[in-house]
Amino acid sequence: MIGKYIKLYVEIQSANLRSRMAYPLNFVIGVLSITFLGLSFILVSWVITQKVPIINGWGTYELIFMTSLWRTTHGIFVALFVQVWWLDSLIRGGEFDRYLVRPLNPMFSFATHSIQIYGFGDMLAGIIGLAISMGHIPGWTLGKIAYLLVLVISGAAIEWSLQMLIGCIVFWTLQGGAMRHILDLLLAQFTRFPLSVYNGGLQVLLTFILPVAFISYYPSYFFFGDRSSIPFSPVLMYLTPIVALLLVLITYYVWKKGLDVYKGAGT
Amino acid sequence: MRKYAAYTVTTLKNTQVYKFDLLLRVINSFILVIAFREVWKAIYANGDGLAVSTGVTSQEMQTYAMLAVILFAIIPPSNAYEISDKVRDGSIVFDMQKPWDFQLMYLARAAGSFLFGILYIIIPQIIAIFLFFHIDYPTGLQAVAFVVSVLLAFLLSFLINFIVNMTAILFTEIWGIEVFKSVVTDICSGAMVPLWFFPAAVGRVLEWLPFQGIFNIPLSLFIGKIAGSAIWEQIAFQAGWCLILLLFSRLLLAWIERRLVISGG
Repeated sequence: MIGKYIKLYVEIQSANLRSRMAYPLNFVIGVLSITFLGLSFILVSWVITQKVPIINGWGTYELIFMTSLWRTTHGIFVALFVQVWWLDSLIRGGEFDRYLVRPLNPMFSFATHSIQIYGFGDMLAGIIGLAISMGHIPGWTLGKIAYLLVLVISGAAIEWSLQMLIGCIVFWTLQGGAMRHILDLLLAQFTRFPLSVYNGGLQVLLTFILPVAFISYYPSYFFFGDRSSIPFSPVLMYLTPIVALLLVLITYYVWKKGLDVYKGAGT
Repeated sequence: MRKYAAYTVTTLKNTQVYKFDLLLRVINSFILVIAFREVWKAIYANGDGLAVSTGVTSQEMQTYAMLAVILFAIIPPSNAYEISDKVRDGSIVFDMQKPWDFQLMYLARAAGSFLFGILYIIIPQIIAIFLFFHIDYPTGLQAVAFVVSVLLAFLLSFLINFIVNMTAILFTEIWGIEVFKSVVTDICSGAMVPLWFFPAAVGRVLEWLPFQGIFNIPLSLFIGKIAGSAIWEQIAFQAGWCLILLLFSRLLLAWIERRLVISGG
């Protein structure tokens, strides 16, 4: 059963990818421009730490590591699941009903909607940033690298869940897709500097309400020597995979409820 | 002149229609205002003698960072996608044949969104900032220079935008160039990090590029980093680049119009 789904997923997505690569020049320019965008954030961290080497206990390479970890997870989200952003217009346009009538799980059908090549630009920038910073952070072992891989997948799952939960509002209201712009902003802005530079209200918001800080801020501490500045509790640095799992389960539950409520956009 | 003014007003009215989008834009921008302020506050708290070495105090830098976020509202929205669509279906020819100047038409439109940005984003946020935070504002000559500088910054960003939009006519696919332009503008203009924060050699190069006229000059005027006779030098710098880019865009436009006629037969 699961094997069938995996095979189907790979087949549909590779067909999607081939169609996106029909114009190779556009493909390359598109991916490279997003890579450039991702690297510009690393450049900003570098410029600032040339004048101020340590910000709340974080040096140049720790900052680059954190922001690159988010870039990589964001790239996975964009490449494979960016259709979440268009859930409201798919529903209003009636296109979404297609997934409901297929003899497959609607969540699965929706996940195979498209592949977004710009995500590869983010992944590339993220991996470059990780590679640069990992060279300057001591104590890497195979186990740690394997755990980093778990964190990348967990981070992508957290972003997917948050985006889906906001996207699912559309089942009840038939609109509200614009809310995601605020989430996008929170993700892009609050994964660049340590959470401790922000005020208490923002720290609570980004840890307990919209757990954006679990994507790259808390787990980064796992690889650093100095862990004295973790807000709330040092335990948080181990929780990313658990937060991801919980959020995915909640999201699936909300999605199911949403499909029950949804009766189609037309009459 | 009247037809351009009418177009400006129409753009303003069209933009006002999307109330919910506007609300989200303001919320977004205010989250960024708070975030930027706290980031720079932390950077100053961590940097020894930063106020002395840069000549800008923590308070002034926080003002700079907050206003930088707000000033993004003066940058005209990109018309690149629309132009590249029009090139694809050929309707760009009709725009160029209409009895008005192609560039002035786009300027009139940009002016509409500029007015919208001032009325609905800049003014409410400035009021909010004055209510919540302590900031020193310029007075007298410095204030006049700031306003003039913001107008020139708008003109500069319009011209850069227009030149990039024109490349849409040459290469119908423009998405990548558009992203490239906004990254270069964000970094080189001082919107993310002020120019005096860059390593000295890089800073000196950036000082000669037109981008710093969009954020670095008006914001430095606001916080008093630029004062005395330097005010006129910097405003002349903005005006000079406006003139150069205007000439360049006119030449480019003339060349493109000729090319379009030729390829149209």
